[in-house]
Amino acid sequence: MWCLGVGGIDMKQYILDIVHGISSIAKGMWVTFTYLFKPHATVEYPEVNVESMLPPRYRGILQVDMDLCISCLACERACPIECIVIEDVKGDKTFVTSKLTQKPTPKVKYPLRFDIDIAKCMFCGLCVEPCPTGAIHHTRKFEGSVTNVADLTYSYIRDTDIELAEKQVELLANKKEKEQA
Amino acid sequence: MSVQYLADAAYREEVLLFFSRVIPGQVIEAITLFATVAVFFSLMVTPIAAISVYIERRLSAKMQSRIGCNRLGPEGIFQMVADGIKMISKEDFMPQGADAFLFKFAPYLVMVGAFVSFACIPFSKQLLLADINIGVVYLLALSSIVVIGIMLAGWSSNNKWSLLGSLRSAAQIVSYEIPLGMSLLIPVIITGSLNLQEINQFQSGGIHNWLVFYALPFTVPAFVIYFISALAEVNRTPFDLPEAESELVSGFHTEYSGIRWGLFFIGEYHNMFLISCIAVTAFLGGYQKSAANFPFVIVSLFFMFFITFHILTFLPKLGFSLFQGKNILDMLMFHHPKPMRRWLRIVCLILAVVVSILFYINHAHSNMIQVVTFISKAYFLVLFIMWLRWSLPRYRIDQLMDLCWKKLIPISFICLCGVLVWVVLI
Amino acid sequence: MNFETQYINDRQMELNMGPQHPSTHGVLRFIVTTDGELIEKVVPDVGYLHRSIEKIGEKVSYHGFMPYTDRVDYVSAMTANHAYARSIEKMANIEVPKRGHYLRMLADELCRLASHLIAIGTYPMDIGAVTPFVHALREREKINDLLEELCGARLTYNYMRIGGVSFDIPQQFVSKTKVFLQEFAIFLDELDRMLSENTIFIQRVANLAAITTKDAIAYGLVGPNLRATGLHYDLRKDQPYACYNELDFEVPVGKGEQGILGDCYDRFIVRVEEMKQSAKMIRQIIDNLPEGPIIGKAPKTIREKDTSSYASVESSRGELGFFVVANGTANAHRVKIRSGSFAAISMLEKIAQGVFIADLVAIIASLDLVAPEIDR
Repeated sequence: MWCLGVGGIDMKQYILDIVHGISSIAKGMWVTFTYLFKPHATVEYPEVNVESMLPPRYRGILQVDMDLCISCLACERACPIECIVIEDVKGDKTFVTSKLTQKPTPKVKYPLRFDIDIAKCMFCGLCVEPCPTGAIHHTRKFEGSVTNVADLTYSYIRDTDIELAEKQVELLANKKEKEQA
Repeated sequence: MSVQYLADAAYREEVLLFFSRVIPGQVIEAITLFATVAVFFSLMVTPIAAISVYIERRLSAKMQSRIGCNRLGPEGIFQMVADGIKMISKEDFMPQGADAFLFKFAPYLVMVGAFVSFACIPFSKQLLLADINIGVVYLLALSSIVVIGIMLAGWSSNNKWSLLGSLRSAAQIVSYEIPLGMSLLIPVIITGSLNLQEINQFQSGGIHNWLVFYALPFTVPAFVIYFISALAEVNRTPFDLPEAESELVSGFHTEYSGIRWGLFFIGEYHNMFLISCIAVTAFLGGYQKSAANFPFVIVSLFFMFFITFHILTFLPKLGFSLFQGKNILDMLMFHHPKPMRRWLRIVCLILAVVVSILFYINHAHSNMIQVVTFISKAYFLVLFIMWLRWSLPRYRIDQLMDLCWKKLIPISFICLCGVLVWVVLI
Repeated sequence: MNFETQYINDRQMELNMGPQHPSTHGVLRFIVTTDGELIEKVVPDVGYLHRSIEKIGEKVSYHGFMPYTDRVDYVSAMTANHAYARSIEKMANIEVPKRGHYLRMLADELCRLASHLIAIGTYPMDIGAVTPFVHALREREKINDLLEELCGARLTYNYMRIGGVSFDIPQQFVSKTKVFLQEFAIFLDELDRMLSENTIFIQRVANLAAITTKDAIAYGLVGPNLRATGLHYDLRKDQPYACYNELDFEVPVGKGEQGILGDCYDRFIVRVEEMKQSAKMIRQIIDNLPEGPIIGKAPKTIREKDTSSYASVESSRGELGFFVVANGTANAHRVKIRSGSFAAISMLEKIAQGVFIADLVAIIASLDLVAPEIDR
């Protein structure tokens, strides 16, 4: 337009700018508007049982099945952050059926202390892989907050394990005496 | 009774006469003025701001495919109360080196600018706090007080980021007052009066009388320009640079906490409602009876019934559990939110349609109906503003200025001249 | 916060965009010298997220270092796993079976999608539009769900092992991935409509902080930032690893559509296009997964003597490489990590001159910096 070309304003570009501006804004707003009618993507956590929604491979808080543990210390060696502490004694040989291979595995050492510091654990799963019997495994539990930090060192040893260890140590000592005699 | 007090001048006289036998006249006048203002604000204006906060959270959540706040009370409406209590109970401190008096004074200026502007807006034929003959000029003048408040807030915080935010805001608000004023001049020219009540009366009689359709090629752009300039006046996206969250934390109100920040926050929502009210009064017909009001009235009545039914189904549960001896806070906080049954929603809709038809028929007889019509239309614009906020990025300061001076002002000049010609010739 | 305003040259103001800031991506600090709103100098100050990962590499065994590589770039963790695994396999001459390579590629591309979703989500959020961020996170949650089924974790996967990967794909993984890809295509379309053509977004972002190819190569820039300047350089095509030469995909390059070549808009568009290509690749991978073992033979303790190796992958932010020096013990002697964000943040001083403070935030977001990669 000749009269408005003063000052170098490109009239056509000006109007096109305005039209393009309004149309692009309207397009964007239409997208947001359609979302008003779509269902929400929120999982309402405390009411919904999230643990059942988790896949079977989920790496939650660790759990040790002491009946299966043969105290081979493979998990302690594999842990990159050194949060597993195991103390054991040598005892008489028994057999434990491995959960993974269903075959009997010999057990010569008996754990007296099995602590995992869950505060340090980074849930990497490197301890679960080398376990020959499947004693240490991940659960799907993820709610582990406590009020006292000392409670975060999970101790998996039970009284029955200590009794078993003492009994096996005695049995081994008896066996050795018999062999010497 | 208070509505009648506000509406009916004769009733006011009666009450004054009754009290004047006991208390001297001037004291009564002062008290009644104060009471009128207090009732007006607490009944009509402040709940809207509180509800706006809640609705913004729910609306933005719905647009982002998530649930908003729905835990505290049925559909989360007690969240407003909880927010208010939290704000009041916060520690009151000032940054070191801040100018104490200015720091404390600034929020009040912003609040005053928003609150007092409500005085001249006609909510219905009789419900008008102050019938000012220069209503439009009054409104423009008060927005300048807001500028002073923002600049004081930014400067007195002793914080470079707040200073940047407040300077940006000052430049923005002052520049955008020009297209705002010019586009508000257009209803003035058409109706020939600065009085908002008269501008409203001009638009009575149906949608064809609305000022936005008066001189179509010129008033529709004028309305759009008014809307955009008013958005910039209240620092609302896409013009919320002064409170740009990702750059300046909160801009000029970074250093404020507790109820001081609450005043800024409420002031912003009041401002939003205010500009919608002015837009509806000046362009969209105000409270006048018209068939085009139906969608707005139906939607707002629907939500009103919805919330009422929600509360009604919640109260027996609450009462029962109190009777059993449970703690009321536990009951409120661990309330499991359940969506409302479908048939109840349909009942709400049918009720809303029926009641809105009744409203339409009885429009001229009741102030309440006119107020409901007005507020539902104005609130629709508030929802539109919220929709804009959650869909658009924000402008940079030089682009903002560019938009104002290079695009809005020339177009508003053209609209003004066009309307002048239209009024003279047609 | 400084209590006295510091004036340099009687005109400039020194601002501190500190480590706690709602916009910087991670804990980064910038010391900005401005003249009002115009920036004259930006000095980045890094180190707030240093966790001595490289030092830990000297203390744990080669296998045990794998979870730590997740934390180098926790936004796209699989690529870091991949780079480290490649480096050790190169050093110890360990073969990876074909199915292992394919699963590694699948994990890489899913992570690339996840990382770009964060990049293009936080970018509009820094500019003002909050909604695309939430939508992008919703899509990323779906990817997290998929990867959770695959390996058990949502952020720090520890999926790859030296010699292959740790788990095979579970049942219904293929169908779930296909469902996700369909929803993702819808999301990309919505994103285009909301942002790529939005006039306010384009005005904010175009013609801003253009980087020339010459500068980019001089500073060592890699990844989508480099490709946005117009140079066609992608490790997956130029030095192909892990069966990428069997996949059919294109490498998007910036074209300067809305302004100067190499500006922020190009960086944004390159990432969006890369997401489309990644979706295409994922479809090809899950359609053509070969049979076989997933992990090759790797010794339990790796002991190499007097060797070093460097291997890198094309992570979402460019070339992520691990340089490992071995000295005969069970642990490495030195692990050095080369990341793409480090070069990008060093470019900031050059490109952020004469822009507004609001633009500075946009530039930082467009370079897709993640602090863990910079500080390690």
